[in-house]
Amino acid sequence: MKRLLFVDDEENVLNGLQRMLRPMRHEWEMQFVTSGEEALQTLAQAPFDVVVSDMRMPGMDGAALLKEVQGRFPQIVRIVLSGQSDQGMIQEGRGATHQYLTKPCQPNKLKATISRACDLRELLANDELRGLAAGMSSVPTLPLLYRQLTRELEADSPSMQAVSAIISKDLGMTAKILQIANSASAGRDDIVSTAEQAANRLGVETIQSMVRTGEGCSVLSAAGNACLNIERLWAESLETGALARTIAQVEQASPQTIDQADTAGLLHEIGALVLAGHASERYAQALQLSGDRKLPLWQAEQQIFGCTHAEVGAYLLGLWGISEPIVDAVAYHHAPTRHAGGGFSPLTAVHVADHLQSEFAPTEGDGAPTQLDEGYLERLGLTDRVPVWRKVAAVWHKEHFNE
Amino acid sequence: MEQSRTNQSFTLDSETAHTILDGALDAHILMNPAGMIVGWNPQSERIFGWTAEEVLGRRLSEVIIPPTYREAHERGIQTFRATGKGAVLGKRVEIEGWHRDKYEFSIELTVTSARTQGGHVFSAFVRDITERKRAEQSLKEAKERAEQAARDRAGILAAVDVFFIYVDCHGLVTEWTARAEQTFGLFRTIVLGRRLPELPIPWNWNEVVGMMQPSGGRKKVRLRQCDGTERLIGMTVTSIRQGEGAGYIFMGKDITEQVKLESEIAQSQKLESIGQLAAGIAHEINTPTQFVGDNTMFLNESFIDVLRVLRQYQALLEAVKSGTCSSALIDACEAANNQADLDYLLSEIPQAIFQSLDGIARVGTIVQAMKEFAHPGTHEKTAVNLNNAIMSTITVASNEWKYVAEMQTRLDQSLPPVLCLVGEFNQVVLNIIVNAAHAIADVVKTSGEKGTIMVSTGRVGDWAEIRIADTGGGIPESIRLKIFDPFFTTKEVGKGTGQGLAIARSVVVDKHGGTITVDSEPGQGTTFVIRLPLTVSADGLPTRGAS
Repeated sequence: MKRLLFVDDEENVLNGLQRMLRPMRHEWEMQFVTSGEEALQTLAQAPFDVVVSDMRMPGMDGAALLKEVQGRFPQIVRIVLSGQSDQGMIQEGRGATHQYLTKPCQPNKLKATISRACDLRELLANDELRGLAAGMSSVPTLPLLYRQLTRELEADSPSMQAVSAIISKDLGMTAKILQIANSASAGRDDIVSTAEQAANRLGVETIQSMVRTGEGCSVLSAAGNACLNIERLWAESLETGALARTIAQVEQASPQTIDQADTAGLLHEIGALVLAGHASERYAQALQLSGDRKLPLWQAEQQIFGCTHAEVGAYLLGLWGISEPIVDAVAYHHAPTRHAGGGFSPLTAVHVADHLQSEFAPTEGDGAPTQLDEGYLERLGLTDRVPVWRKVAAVWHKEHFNE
Repeated sequence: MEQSRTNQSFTLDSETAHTILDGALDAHILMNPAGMIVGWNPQSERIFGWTAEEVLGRRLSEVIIPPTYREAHERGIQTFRATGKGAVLGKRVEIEGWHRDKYEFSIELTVTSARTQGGHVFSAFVRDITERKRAEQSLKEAKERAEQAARDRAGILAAVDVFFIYVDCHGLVTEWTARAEQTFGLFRTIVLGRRLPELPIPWNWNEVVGMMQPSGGRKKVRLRQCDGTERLIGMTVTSIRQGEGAGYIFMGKDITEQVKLESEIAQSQKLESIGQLAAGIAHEINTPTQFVGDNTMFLNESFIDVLRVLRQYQALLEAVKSGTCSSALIDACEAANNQADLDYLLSEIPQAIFQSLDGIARVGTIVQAMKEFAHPGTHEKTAVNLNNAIMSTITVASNEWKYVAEMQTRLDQSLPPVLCLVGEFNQVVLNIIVNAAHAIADVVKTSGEKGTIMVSTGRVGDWAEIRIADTGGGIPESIRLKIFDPFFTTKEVGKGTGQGLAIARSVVVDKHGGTITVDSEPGQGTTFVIRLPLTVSADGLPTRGAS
């Protein structure tokens, strides 16, 4: 049974939600309160999984409430359901929001969003890491790219093309901009799959305010930097994204799948930033273990944390409302066979790209590279495609690294 | 006869001649052929500072000729001796004299020569013309100053961005500055000396001639240019008495750009408040839409449950009618009841319907108010029920105030309709209500407490009075006079253009002939009082009867 708390100063809204969500009453235990103050009292009395709050309320407003919740109950998923139709997510103090839905929200969309938030828990069993990921308002960016972006945005007339090119090279900014763009497009059917699409949807001004308020932009802690080579992580992530895109193109996947494969490839290691930044010591242990025992890193992480950067990253992206195929690709990229889906998907592309990337550019001192999941490819009937993918990936690699 | 008289005069004895010459107003000096001074009357003493005793017998040139001219003087005497001709003889000459105190000064003199027993004697009458010279000099300087002043004036007139035209008492143009050339496209040389109304200026001459009154006038005048565009001239005409008639000074400038800018600012303020309102209105519509949608979804699903129960009851009814009612059927009915949670549905469905209707009504109200508020396209004054206008403004602005204030209204239903530009009036009321809400928000902050905004209307004499009072922090005395100034704002940069109250003042005072005043008690709140005239004449301004 998941526990949900709804906050809105308008009782009619709460009544409507209560009636509309009644069919879920066997899965969800729902409480309804009319102010931020009351919400905090309720949260203090019993554990909750999800808070859905209005934004504008007399006294403590939604932004203040969710900030408080983020600090005191970080593991709770924080969703806004607001009547404000401006792109509220970027505004000050709203970084504490995981997902921003606007009224009127289609009942099915609301249900699906809450359901997904509830199910995310299944992705990441570790309570502590869940709290860690849910407490984050941003993922670290590469300082160099951040500086480039600021410089471009300060130009007299920033070029959208340049801006999105910079963002799409950065893990942290890509994740954040996708979160904001997905929120802004709540209620629309078209899904935003790449940083470029997200940037175009939001416009330069919104990105400027995102950078100005500092929401969504942070740097890796010193401890994190000590155990993680951030430049290398970026290089590997970019290459994995590019290879995943190439593979998806060879498979003549839909444009959306191709885009999602690219983005998922870029973001597949994003969980490493969470672990390295906020659990640096244990992450260093995992790295040590992987090197000593020649284990794939994720298996070492599994031993230390009881889960891997894949689940942590996927959990974070899921919280942020990033589209499901991307989240799945990140979550299962080491062991895709655990994913129930059939047919070529961004997961397939990222899994293979990740393997090929480590095959092309093995790094000294690392543990064993990730192996291809033969069973999974067999199940999909794609085993015979592997040589083709390896070939196009090699071509790509050669073109870009001149080897 | 002539000769004899002449002879007689020559017979004057030297004593007598001296006496006569001593009485002369000018200096008189005699010089012998050797260049010595032989005569020196008292005026000579006065002018040159030497007494007769001191100079008699000395060389003239040494005494009264400035050193620089002495040589020339001696040469002149030589020449005369040789030729009998002198450059100065018999003429009135202005030269420099030499004073005993060794300074030069201007003198005027006439020299004659006479032959005597001892040769030629030169006689000179000398006049000190220092004063005259000085007077001439200062006259010259005065003239130069006047000319400089005239040049300066022309320069200033050319430099200021105001044109300047002067029409004298005969109606002729005597001044036409470079600005005037620019503004009207007519050259000074063509215009000067012509009568003003003969000039090809594309404005309404009746209007302009009408301004040429002893009391002068000030107006915005349209220039219709040949390309069809219009320019706006702000012009002042001042009359100046000139003898029997009157001359006129026309001063003014092209204010087209300025007026355009002002209207753009007003427009941007309007857009700003409309943008802000739109977000608020969207919120007011989105909220009921959310719960109407949720309730409808619920009704949709509930109906399926209720239908299932109804079908069961229908079957039961048929069975009862045909006498085949079985306990199984009754059990099935009960089961259907329980499964559908009928009691819950029966209590919730009416509420869901009621609340949805309420939500729809709310959307309807705000859409109606929005239509009334926006009131597009009326540039003319119409008779307006101010109470209705105020209510719709309060409704569209509700998202601005409802989180911080209770709204109270005390509207005088007997208030007659007022001729006004309703769209602009609504804008004024909106600006003041939004300010009131902001003032209260600054006081209550996030305490969850609310202040009060009280809007009241009433008739006061020949005026309709609207009072908007808030319980905000009040306006400090120090800035109370500035709040109606354009661009004055206490809000942070980017929040408000500082135009709201300036526009309010302009709408109420300039466009409606009303008044807007503010009464504020720091810590207690602020009350804005707007008065609009109830009796309005054709020109849109209050009739004289209005007090």
